[in-house]
Amino acid sequence: MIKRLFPAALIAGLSAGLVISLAQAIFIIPLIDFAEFLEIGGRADDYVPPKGFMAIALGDPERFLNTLSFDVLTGVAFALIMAAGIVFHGRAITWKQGILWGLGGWAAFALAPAIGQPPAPPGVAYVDLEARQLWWWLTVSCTSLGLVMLVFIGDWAGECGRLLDGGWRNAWWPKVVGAGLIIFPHVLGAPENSAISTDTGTAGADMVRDFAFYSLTSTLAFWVIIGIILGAVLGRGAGDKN
Amino acid sequence: MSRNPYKTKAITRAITGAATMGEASEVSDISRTNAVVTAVFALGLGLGLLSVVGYAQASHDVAHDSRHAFSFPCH
Repeated sequence: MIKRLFPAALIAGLSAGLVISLAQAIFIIPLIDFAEFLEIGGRADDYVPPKGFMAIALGDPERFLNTLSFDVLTGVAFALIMAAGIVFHGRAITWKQGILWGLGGWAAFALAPAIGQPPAPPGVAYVDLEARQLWWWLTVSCTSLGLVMLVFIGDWAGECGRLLDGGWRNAWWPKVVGAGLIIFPHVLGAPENSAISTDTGTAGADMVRDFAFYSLTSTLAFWVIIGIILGAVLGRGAGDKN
Repeated sequence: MSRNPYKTKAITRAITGAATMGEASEVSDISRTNAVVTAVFALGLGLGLLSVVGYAQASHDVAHDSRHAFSFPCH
């Protein structure tokens, strides 16, 4: 499993990054393009949209390649984090369980932060960058840890129980702590003015809603792809010690 | 020494069996430690890469569209 960790993360990150780049070129980049046109004071009626994927890729190839590269790097980063989680867990895995890992990653790194800070196109009025970044890391950490405690409660509590020679396998407290961790960032609240912002700035409510929808659906596909590939590659020959 | 050869065999088997089991669990402890060390390294690498890709101001312009799409707060 270990020997395959880095190759697996590279393959998973590369594949997911390429797929989400394609999805972005079709659904998201056109919205960013339009949002930026509005942001610099353009009128919606005067906007001439680039026609389709090829116009976006060929119209500004450098920008497209930059985005593609960063999508792949983001994919590799998230795949490394998920692969580490799978190895920490230490059990054999299949691609089907990989789907669940993918859903968990999406919930922790995309859905949970989006509850307080929805994905937004350029032009939406936001304040205090540092506070929002801090809240993002807090939410991602709490949700990941919370999910681990909720989902792997048997292993976790069983492990503690064995160490302390007690019967904690069915302990309830990790579940309560896990749920508490997941809820905590939202009780604390995202920084002022970023929670379901009513000030959509120059972008407008419709675009903000569309943007959030496409962002969350594309990242869902992205995370599930990472999970399936990691599950399949790390799970191969799960019997051997490596 | 033992008057009962079967008992001796059983004891020997128990001892060698235990020794084999001890070795095996030692090996699996070592490979488990290797696994955890590698996973910690992978986690650190992933988080470091994520910080650069998602948050470093130096790469803001080239990463702009990706960051919007992944919803990393960057401006």
